[in-house]
Amino acid sequence: MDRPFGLKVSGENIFPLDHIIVATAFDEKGARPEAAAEAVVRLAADLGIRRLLQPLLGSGDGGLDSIETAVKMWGAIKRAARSAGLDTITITTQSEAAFERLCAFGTDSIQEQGERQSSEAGSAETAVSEFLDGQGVTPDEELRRLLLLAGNLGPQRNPDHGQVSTSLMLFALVESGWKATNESPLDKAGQTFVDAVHGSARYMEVQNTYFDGREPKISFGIESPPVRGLSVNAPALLKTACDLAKLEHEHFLRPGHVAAAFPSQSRGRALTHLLDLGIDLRRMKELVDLAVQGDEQPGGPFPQPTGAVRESVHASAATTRPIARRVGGCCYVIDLHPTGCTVMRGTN
Amino acid sequence: MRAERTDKVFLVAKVGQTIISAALTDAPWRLPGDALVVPADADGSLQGSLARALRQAVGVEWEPI
Repeated sequence: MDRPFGLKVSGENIFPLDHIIVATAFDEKGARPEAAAEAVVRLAADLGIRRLLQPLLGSGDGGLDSIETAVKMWGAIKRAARSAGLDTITITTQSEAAFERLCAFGTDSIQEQGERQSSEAGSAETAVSEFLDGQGVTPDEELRRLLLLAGNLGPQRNPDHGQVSTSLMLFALVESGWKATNESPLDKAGQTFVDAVHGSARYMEVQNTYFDGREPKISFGIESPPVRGLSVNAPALLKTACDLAKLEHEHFLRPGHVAAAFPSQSRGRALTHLLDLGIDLRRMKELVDLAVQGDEQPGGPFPQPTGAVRESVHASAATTRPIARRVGGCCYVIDLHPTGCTVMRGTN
Repeated sequence: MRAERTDKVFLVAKVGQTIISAALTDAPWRLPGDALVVPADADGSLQGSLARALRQAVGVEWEPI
């Protein structure tokens, strides 16, 4: 058995599957998961399948290396997908390492301009990525996940909803359960903002009003209809977030950047929500500004005259790094933990 | 039956009109899809871990193929 075959599923099913495709990574030439994956995609197209769930082949009990298998299958699936014309192909794995490797292809593929499509019929993530690409940044994994949720929230607000809006990004930020996982001051400021929104006594009321009394279903799968693009106000929010990322010399845009961008918005439906929630936007903006400026202590200030040796002490290495990058010429950053401060020293 | 929150789904790329995603899950049949690929051994027997898990989830005996 070296060619995949499909079985039509009939009758009442507990899973919404029309077909089961049986495939093996092994043929007379040995293990060739890439050949099998390509054959599966072509078979799926022949069978009229629109959404294919494709696990890694041979990396479980078959004993193949899961990362190597993922890389091989990715290339084959991408090749076959160009002509097969399916709507979605989901490569599934139980291996965290293989999953991470597959996700990394997302960053790579951003560079492949030839594959870029208009956002006329794309996902929320695609629409946002296209905008971000113009800003020279890329959404990180956590932000992509959040955008998937935003895309799924849209139709729950309005079945004809076809745009990624500031409101959807705000509710996705809160409902995704996002937490700042690094020491970036901007992420911490963003976390404070999200906590304030979620902690508002009026949050449920505002959310219910926006979703017309329905409790939104939280899903990170690809299940919403395509979006047409960004709302009128979303680009301003994303542009601010990109500017914050650039201050950290970050190529990847994180949810923390988006969260930290909200307090400085002067228009948009999300701003109305924030005012309804009683969020102290001036205070939140101050926190973001402080995060951007860092918490330099005597020993600075920066930048020093060219050629001067400089040294400054900060609360943590995470605070120091963006400052060091911004100023340039930093030789090293020393984290003096557990004394709780960081020394940055360098010359212009 | 939709994907549970513990499943991770990540949109990797759009190739032509096809959206390719990666999913970290031990139950891919819960994800939105029309067809599920079940890995088989070289001789076509369905003894792999995913086949066993699916068989257990469905709760019926499968005819040998």
